[in-house]
Amino acid sequence: MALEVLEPGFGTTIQDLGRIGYGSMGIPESGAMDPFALQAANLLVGNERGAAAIEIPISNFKVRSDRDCLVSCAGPEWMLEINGSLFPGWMSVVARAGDLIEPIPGAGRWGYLAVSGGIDVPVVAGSRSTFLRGKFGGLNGRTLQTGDSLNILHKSDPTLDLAGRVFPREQLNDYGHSIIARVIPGPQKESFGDEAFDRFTNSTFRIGSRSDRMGYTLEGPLFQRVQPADILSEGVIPGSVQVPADGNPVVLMSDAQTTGGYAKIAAVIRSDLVVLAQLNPGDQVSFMVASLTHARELYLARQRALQDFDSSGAD
Amino acid sequence: MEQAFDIRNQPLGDSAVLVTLSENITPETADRVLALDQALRAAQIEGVVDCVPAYTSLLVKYDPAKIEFEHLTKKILSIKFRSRDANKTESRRIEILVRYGGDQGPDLENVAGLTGLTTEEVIRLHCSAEYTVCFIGFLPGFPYLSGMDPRLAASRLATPRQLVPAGSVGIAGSQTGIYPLDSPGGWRIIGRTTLTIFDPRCEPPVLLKAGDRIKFIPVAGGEEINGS
Repeated sequence: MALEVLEPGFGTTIQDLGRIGYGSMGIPESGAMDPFALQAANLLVGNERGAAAIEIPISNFKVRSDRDCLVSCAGPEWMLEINGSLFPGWMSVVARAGDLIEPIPGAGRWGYLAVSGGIDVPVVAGSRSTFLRGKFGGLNGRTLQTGDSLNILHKSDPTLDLAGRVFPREQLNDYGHSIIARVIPGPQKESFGDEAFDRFTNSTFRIGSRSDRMGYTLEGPLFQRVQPADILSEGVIPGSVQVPADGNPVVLMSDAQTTGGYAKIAAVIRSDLVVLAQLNPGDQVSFMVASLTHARELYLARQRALQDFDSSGAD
Repeated sequence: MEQAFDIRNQPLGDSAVLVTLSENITPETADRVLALDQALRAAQIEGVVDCVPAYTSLLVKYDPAKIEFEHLTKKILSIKFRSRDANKTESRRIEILVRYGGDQGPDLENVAGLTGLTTEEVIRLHCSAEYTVCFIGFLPGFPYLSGMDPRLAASRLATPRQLVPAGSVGIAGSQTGIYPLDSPGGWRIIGRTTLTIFDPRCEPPVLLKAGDRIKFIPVAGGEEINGS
């Protein structure tokens, strides 16, 4: 079976949980900007958590399926329209052959459309995720276009009986337009001085307009290192808050390069990076230091929320 | 030499440890980074999902659900590694044919101007050194090479190019490297190879790896370059 793209949206790509284990080759992780929403969308339609789905930035996206299937759309306040009927997000819905499937953007920047079976594109370096800058992964390494046909992995037993399942609202992340993201102080924190780090955690930043899958720029107070501007290139991860010479911090996101030569004042913890990823340009974020122990508890709680939902579908 | 250095372990967020082995780029440090990388991979520590070597450091990524920072750093510190191992087991020597100058190397003339050398001298110096791949970063398959003659050092372009073609060989400061794919970039491009150093259809998708030794071989403009 296949999905035909009728409206491609603006910057829509295929994503899964990304490429893990290829950092020494310079290959970025990529993967969903909000992996929690991606996993929830997949579980709702009976897929493996890390199946490939469609990541849609706020824009008009529409597909038509040539078979009956189960679909879900997960994203902060996103909804799903099937043939003109509106359904809540974070819920599985049956789409019949020929139905128009249209995710309706909400407050968050990214929505995930999952289809029972999962999107079938070639696995490149262990993942189906699109890496636009490298022009590989996903559908021919590019954003979706009108007329594209997306194959769906065959499922012998369609799980249409899962229709109507809803991801528990109380288990969703604390999405919003103004958030607090917890951080672990970065390896070069000292080089900014104590005063600058205090300012970092006591300020409110706006998400800049030059924000994409590689990184989100932060507009607010500027930061200068007390010591020389650049460091020797070293490995980085999504969530790292780098401060380039212009003093405007950048939060590295899913498509971040594997190594970087800018000082890192902090790094956002995993469970809060998904919430930060859902901010739009102009939205606000402030930062708060967390302990590694607390960060781990928060991460485990998010994992547990997905696991509990997964096992609740088994009975 | 046994591990007798002051290794520094720092968290990078809640899912990575930055292991710094030295403050300075030296061939010995590069060997030690590689040796630790290999020893860590061989140790197959539960919860470690990737290691990213760089000039003086190794970033160890982990799954916080499977291992905790304190436990992982203890394991890292307990690992015995010898610098020699990296060279002994992994070092390959790869020759890369390069067309210098012309359309393929649009900045050859200005590198000559900046360095006070002739274009012939730039080519000769660039080809006479043997380089070591310190690590791969910035772009998939992009090799950071050490060993360039200091006389070739030239600053980056003030305004980066929108498109640097795959295979372009460039200089930035005291570094030289090869663009694995079409990309924007600010390195001064002195030549180009037809050798494919990144191909996502292959496994592994990158040709070079840390520890490889590289030699550039100049090819005349009209000649067919056979990369492999």
